[in-house]
Amino acid sequence: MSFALPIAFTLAALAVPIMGLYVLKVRLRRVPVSTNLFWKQIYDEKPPRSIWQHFRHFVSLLLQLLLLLLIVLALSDPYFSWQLLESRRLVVVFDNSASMRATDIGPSRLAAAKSAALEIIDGMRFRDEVAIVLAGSTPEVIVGMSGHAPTLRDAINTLSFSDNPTHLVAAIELGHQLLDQHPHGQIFVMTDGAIDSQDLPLPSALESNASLDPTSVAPHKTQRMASVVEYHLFATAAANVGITQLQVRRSLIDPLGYEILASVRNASANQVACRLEFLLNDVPVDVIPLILKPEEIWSRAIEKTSLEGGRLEGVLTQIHGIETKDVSEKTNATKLDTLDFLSTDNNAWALLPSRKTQRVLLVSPGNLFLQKVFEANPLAEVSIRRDFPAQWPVDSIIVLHGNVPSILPPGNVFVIDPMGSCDQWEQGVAIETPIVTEQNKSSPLMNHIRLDNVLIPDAKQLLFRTPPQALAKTLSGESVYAEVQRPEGKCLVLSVNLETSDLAFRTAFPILVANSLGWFSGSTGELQQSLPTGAVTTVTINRATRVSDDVVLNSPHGETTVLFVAGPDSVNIPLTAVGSSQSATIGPLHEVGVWSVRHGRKETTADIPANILAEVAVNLASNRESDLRPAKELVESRQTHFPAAGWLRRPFWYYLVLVACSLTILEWFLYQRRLIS
Amino acid sequence: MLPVEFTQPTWLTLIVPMGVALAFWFVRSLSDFPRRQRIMSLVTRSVICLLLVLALSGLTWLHRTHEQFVLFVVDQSLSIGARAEIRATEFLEIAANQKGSHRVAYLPFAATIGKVQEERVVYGATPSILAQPTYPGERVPPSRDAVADQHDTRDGTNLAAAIEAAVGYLPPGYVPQIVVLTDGNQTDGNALAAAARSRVPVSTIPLPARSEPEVQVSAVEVPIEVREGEPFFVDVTIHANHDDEGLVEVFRGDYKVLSETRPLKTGENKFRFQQSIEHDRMVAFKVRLSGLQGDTLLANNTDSGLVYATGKPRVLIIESDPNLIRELAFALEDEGIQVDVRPPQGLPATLAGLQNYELLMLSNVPATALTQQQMEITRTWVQDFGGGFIMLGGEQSFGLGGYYKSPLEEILPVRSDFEKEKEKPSLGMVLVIDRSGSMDGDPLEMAKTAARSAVELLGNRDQIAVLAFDDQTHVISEMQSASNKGKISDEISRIESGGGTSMYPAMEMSFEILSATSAKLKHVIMLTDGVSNAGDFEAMAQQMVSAKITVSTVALGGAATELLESIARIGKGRYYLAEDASQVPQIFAKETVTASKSAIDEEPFVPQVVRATHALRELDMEAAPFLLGYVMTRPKPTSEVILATEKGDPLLVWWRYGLGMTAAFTSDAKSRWAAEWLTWPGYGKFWTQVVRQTMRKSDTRGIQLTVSQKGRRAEVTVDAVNEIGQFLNHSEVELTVINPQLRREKSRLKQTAPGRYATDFTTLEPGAYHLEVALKQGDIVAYRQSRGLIVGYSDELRIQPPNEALLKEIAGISGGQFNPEPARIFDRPKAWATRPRPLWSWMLAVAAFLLVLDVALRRIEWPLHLRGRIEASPFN
Repeated sequence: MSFALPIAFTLAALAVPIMGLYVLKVRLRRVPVSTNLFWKQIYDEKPPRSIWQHFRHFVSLLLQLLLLLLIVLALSDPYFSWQLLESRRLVVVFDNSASMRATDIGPSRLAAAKSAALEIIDGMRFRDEVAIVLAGSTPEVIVGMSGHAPTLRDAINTLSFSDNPTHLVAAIELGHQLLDQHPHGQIFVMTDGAIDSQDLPLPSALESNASLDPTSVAPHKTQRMASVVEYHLFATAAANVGITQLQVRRSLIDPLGYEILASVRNASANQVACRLEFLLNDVPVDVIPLILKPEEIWSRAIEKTSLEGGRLEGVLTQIHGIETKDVSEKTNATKLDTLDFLSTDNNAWALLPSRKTQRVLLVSPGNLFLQKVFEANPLAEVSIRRDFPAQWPVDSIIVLHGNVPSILPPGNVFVIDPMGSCDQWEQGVAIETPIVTEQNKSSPLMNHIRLDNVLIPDAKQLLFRTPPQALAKTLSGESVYAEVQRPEGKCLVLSVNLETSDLAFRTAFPILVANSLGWFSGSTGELQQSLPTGAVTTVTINRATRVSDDVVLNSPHGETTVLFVAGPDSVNIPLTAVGSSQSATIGPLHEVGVWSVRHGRKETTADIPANILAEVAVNLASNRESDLRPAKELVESRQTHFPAAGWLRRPFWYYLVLVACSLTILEWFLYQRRLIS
Repeated sequence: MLPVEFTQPTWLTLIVPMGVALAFWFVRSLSDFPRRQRIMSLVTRSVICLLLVLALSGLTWLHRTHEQFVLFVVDQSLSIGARAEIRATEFLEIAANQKGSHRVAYLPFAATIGKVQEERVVYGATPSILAQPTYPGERVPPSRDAVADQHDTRDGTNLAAAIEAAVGYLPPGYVPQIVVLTDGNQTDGNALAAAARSRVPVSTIPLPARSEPEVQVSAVEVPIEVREGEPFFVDVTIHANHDDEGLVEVFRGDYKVLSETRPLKTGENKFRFQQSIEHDRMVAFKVRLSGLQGDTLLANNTDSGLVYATGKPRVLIIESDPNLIRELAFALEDEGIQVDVRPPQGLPATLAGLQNYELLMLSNVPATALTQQQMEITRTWVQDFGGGFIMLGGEQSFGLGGYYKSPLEEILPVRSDFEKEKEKPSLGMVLVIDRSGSMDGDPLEMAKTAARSAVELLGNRDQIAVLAFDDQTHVISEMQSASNKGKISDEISRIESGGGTSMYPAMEMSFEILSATSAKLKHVIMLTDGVSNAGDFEAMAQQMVSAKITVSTVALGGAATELLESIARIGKGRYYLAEDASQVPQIFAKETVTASKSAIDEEPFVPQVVRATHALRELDMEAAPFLLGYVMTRPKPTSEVILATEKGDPLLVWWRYGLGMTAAFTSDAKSRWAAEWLTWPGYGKFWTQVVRQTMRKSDTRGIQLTVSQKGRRAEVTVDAVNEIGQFLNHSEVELTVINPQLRREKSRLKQTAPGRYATDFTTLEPGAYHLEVALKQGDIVAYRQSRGLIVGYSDELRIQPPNEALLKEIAGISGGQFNPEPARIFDRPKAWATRPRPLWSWMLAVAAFLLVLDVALRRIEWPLHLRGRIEASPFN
C-alpha cells in the first residue's frame, strides 16, 4: 500500500491532546447532599485516583483514537498498486444519427442511450478516464479524456439530435486513437444499429484472425479495434415508412417541364397504406396514394410543368399498416395502428430551378406562322419589327427572316430564309432538289424533328466562309439547316423558303423553334440536387450586393451562422471558399429542410425572397437510416450490461471516511447512553 | 452562486440520518454536563459529521485558472522542406522556453496522425513518429520497408484529422489552444470545417514552401473527347522555383512525339502543341522532365493526360500469316470499318491497347502463340468493356489451336472438346513427362494439368499411357482406354518431383508400349526442362517413325532445344518452346487434338441457316457457295447457332459474354476453305454484318459520362437520356474500373436525380484507370461508354506556396491567431478555464482538529473549571 499524501500522518499528533484530555485531573463538581448516606455512593462513583487510573474510560479513548486514525489515514489517501494498474480509459461513442430520433424506445433512442451512458459515468472507478465522442458526419470529441464526472455528465446531457446518417467507423477509429493502447481501454458504442455493419470492427473480426494475410496491415487495425469495442443497442425492430429520395430536374425537351424522382421505402414486415403529396411553393401539385408491400421500395418519376420553379416538398401522411389475408386482395383490409416511428423522413425537399423567359426580336417582312410559333412559346417574349433597328439589343435572340444585314449582329442569331449574303456566307443559286436526306441526329437541335418528309420547293445554297456544323443536308450535300461557327455568338441558319414550303404547317416547326430557343439559352436539364444530410457543399452566391454585407447561413430551423464577413481585414473572414471567388463552402448540413444563404443585414427580414442568395435542399435520403431495425450482426454482438467496475471502485479513503461516519454516530450513542463508562 | 459542486451529491442524503441520530441520542442523553456545553458538543459533532459527508459527496471548488495547455500540431508531410523544418524547430524552441508554468505537448501529423508526445518534435527523427502504433507480439510484415512506410505516411496532409485528434487530447481544467505549424496545403479533409467545430482557438503558423530547387510537371491538359482527325492542343504546365533548363519529352502512348531542351523560368511555364488522332480510340499523352540542373523530388517530373476519340469502328485481325486475310480486310474497309491486321505478336498485352478496337478477330492463331496474360486481358476486355471477339476456323483454331480450357475458350460460344466420331481412327498416345528436381513446383503442376487436359480431350476408343522420368523411368499410368479418365487423372496427380534427367530410357519405354498397342494413330509427347543424360535419341525417333509413331517435343525454359527440335523433326511431330510453364496445358491440348486428327472435316458443304437473324438480312444464304472445310466444335448451351454445316456441326455461333459478344466461325475467311466465298458477291456484306453484330456498340449518344478526381477519390456521374431526350430512370447502370494494377472493381451506380446516376471509387495508386459504363434496360445493354482517368503523382508533391488564406481563415473562425510570435502564444491574460479542486482533504483535516475540541467538550466540564478559576481568583 502506498500513500498519496503521507504528510497527513503529522495530524496523528492530535492523538496527544486527546489522550491528554483523558488523563487530565478534572475538577469534581460540588454536589450538596442532605445525608451522608449518599457519600458512599458518590465516593464509589468519583473516588480519588492516581493519574493512570483515569484511563478507566479506556473504550471511549480507544474509539476517539480510532476515529482520529481513520480520518488521518483517509487524509493520507492510501492506494494499492493494483488500483493504479486497473484504472481504465473509456471512450463512449454516441450515434446521434437521424434514426436515434425514433420513438420506439421512449422518449427516444438517443435519450435511452444517454441515460445508459450516465450509468457508465456513475460506475467510473476513481482513476478511470472517460472521453465522449460524437459520431457525426465527421467524428467530434465532445470531452477529451477526463475523470471529472460532472463535466462528463454535462456533456452527455447536452448531446442533441442530428438528421445525419450514421458514421460510426471514423468515430470508433478516433476513439481507438484516444485510448492510446491503454491496457484497460474500452470503447462503448451507443447506437441503434441502423447501419450497414460490414465496415464496423465486430467481434467476428477476431475469430477470422487465422485466415488473415500476415502482410496486410489494415486487418490488424480492425482486429485491434474489435477487441476493445462493445456495442450497446437502443433499438427494437420498429417499423418505419419514409421518403428515401426526392429530386427534381428540368426536362431536356419541354421548356416548362420538370421531372420529380421520388422513392418511398416501407421498412417493415407489414403492408402499409400511405399518401405521398407534392407541394410546389406550398401549392399541391400531386397526391399519390400508396399501398406498399412489406420491404417494398416504391420509386417513380413524375412529369409536371412549371415556369417559376421553387421549393418542392414531398410529404408522407396517413401511414397505417394494413392487415390482409391475401396481399393482392385489398378489399378485406383492416387497418392497423400507425406504423411510423421516425418523422424525419416523412418530409423531403427539392429545389426546382426557374425557367427564365427570353426576349426575342423578330425582324421579318411579315409571316404570321413564324410570328405565332415564337409567340406560342411560353419562354419567349417576342417583339416584332419589319426593319433592322439602329442598335441591336444585346439581351435578345435576334430572328432574321428574309433580309440579313451585311454583318450579322453579335449574340444569338437565328436566320431564316436569308435573302442575301453577309459576313458569314455568300448566297449561291437555288438548290435543285432540296429534299432533306441527312439529319444530324446527335445534335439537340434536331431532337424530335424529321425533315425528310417536308416539302421544300425552294431553298438557297449558302457558301459558308467557315465550314458550319450541318444539321440537315439535302441530296446534293447542301446544308439547309446549319449551325454557324463564329466567335461573336451562336448562330443558326435555316435556308428554307417558308412561304413555299409546308414546313411552317408541320409539327416539326414549333419543335425546331423550341429546340433552338433551348439551345440559345444553354439550358439543359438544370438540376439543383438535393443533398443528403451531413453533406458539405460549395454554393455559388449570386451576390448583387455591397461587399461589406454579412452573408449568413440559415438552417431549416432558423439557426443563423455568419458565413463570412468581407471586411477590410481578411483575417476576420470566418468561412468562405479560399480565394476571392463568390462561392462559399457550407456544411456539414445536419438538418433536413431547405438551408438558405442570405444577406445578414439587419434591416432586411428573412421573409423577403430577394434576400436569398442561394438555397440548398437537404433530405435524410437514406434507405438504411429509414430502416430502424438494427443490423443482424450488431444484434448478435450487442452487450446488455456494462462491465462491472468492481466493489472497490472508489478510492480507499472513501471507505475509511464511511467507517469514520459510522463510528462517529456509534461513539456518540455509546457516550450519550453512558455505555462506555 | 458559490463556485462549488458535488461530484457524488447522493451522499449528501447521509446528513439526514446522521443528524437524526445525533439529535436523538442528544435528547436521550444520560450526560450530566450542563446543557450549554452539551449543545456545544452536539454542534461540534454535527460539524464533524457534516465535514465527513461533504468529503464523501465530493465537494469541489471550481476555481479559475489561467494555466494553459498548448498542443503544437506539427506538419511533417513531404511538402515540408528544410527551410520549413528550421522555421518550425526555431518556433517550437522559443515557444518551449517561453512556456513558464503552462503545459505544452506536440502532435506530429502528415497523411495520418502521430502520437501526442511531451518531447519536442524533431524532424528527420525515427520513422516511428508517424508510424501506426504496434502492439507487442504483433507481426510486422517483413516485406514492408520501414523507410518506404514512413514515406507513405508522409505523403499527404490531413490537417482536418489532425485538428480533430488534437481536440480529443486537450485535458480539461486548462485554457486550451491548438497551434498548427503547416504549409496549409491539405490533401485530404476539410480543415476549415474541423476548426469551426473544434470550439478551441486554433492558431496557425505558416511554414514556408520548399526552398530546395524543384521543378514539376503541374498539368497536362487535353480535351476529354475529340472527333477522329480533329486537331486539338495538348497544354503542358511546368512549375519551377528557380531558373533551370531541362529536357521536356512528350510521349504519345509508347511513341515519343516531342523531345527538346527548354529553358524554364521561375514560376509557371506553359507550352502547347497540336495533335490529332487518326486511328486510335484512346491516347495517353505523357510529359516527362529530365536533365534538370536542380530538382529535389523526382516523382513529380511526370504527368499524363488521356484523350478519347470518336470515329469509324476499328477491327483488329490477328492472323499467323497476315497476307492470307487481305480479302477480308479489304471487304470490311469497303464497308467503312477500319481494319488492322497483325501477326500474333501484335495482339495488345494491355487493356489500353485493346480499347482502341471494337472487335478482335483471331484467324488461325494457336493458343500457344499467345501468352496467358494476353488471353486474360482479352477476356476482361470482352466481359467488362463490351469488346467483340470472333474466332475463325483453321488448322490452328479452337481445339486444334490448344484453346481447350483456356480463357479464350471460356468466352467462345463453342467448346473445343467434341464427341469424337466412331469412324475416326483411334489414337494411342504416351505422355513422357520430366519429373526431375528442377521441375518442382509450378512446372510440374502445370505439366500435370496439361496431362489431365490431354486425357479429357481423348475419345473413348483412344488409349493413353503416362510415363515420368528422372534418373529412372516411372510408369505413372499403364496404357489403357482413355475412357478411364478419372483413374488416369488420379494417377497423374501422384507424380512427384525426383532426381536427375535421363530421358532416353523413357523414350524407349514409350516406343515399347506403343508398339504393343493396336491403335491406328500412335503419338508420343515428351516434355523436359533440362539437358538429358546421353542417349541415341535420333535413332530412336527414326525407329518410331518406322513403326508409324510420331513424336512431339516440348522444351520448357529453353534447355536442350536443339536436341528436342531434332527429335520432333525426325519423329514427324511438332516442337514447342514454352518459355513459361503456364503455356504447357495449351500445348498438350493442341497436340492431343492435332494428333487425333479428328477435329477437322474437309468435305465441301453448303452452310445451313439454323436461325434467322437480322445480321443475315438481305443475304441469300441459300445461294452462298460451298465451304471446303471446318473445325469441329460443340455449341455451348446458351449460345445461338446461326449457321451450321450439313452434318449439323456449328458453323456460325454467337453469344453474349458479360458486356460483350463473341462469335465462332468454324470455317475460315481465306482461300483455304473459303476459296469459293471470296468471289461470292455476299462475302463483304456477310462479314461486315457479322462484324457489326459482334463488335462493341459505341452508341454513346444517350449517355454522358463525367469523371472528376478529387483527393484520393474519383467521382463518376452519368446523365442518361433516351433517343428523344427523356431521362432514363430506374435503369441498371454498371461501372467497371480496371485500376493500374489491372484489378477489376465493379459497382452499380446509384440514381441520384432524374436521368442521373453517380458513384465514386478510390484512386490510391497513380496510373491509368479504365472505366466502362454500361446502361442496361432489362437484360440489354442500351448504352455504354468508355473513359480513362490518369491519376498523377500525389498532391503532396506539388510545389505550392503556403496556403496562407486557409490558415488565416482557420485562425479567424476558431478564434486563434494567425502567425503570432512564439512569445505571444501564451499571451492570453483574459482567457481562463475552470479547474475543479476537490476539497475532501481539507474537510478531513478540519474534522481531525474538531475531533480534539469534541473530546475536550466531553472530558472537561468547562463551566465548572471556568467558575472554579473565578472563585480561586485573589480578587474574590
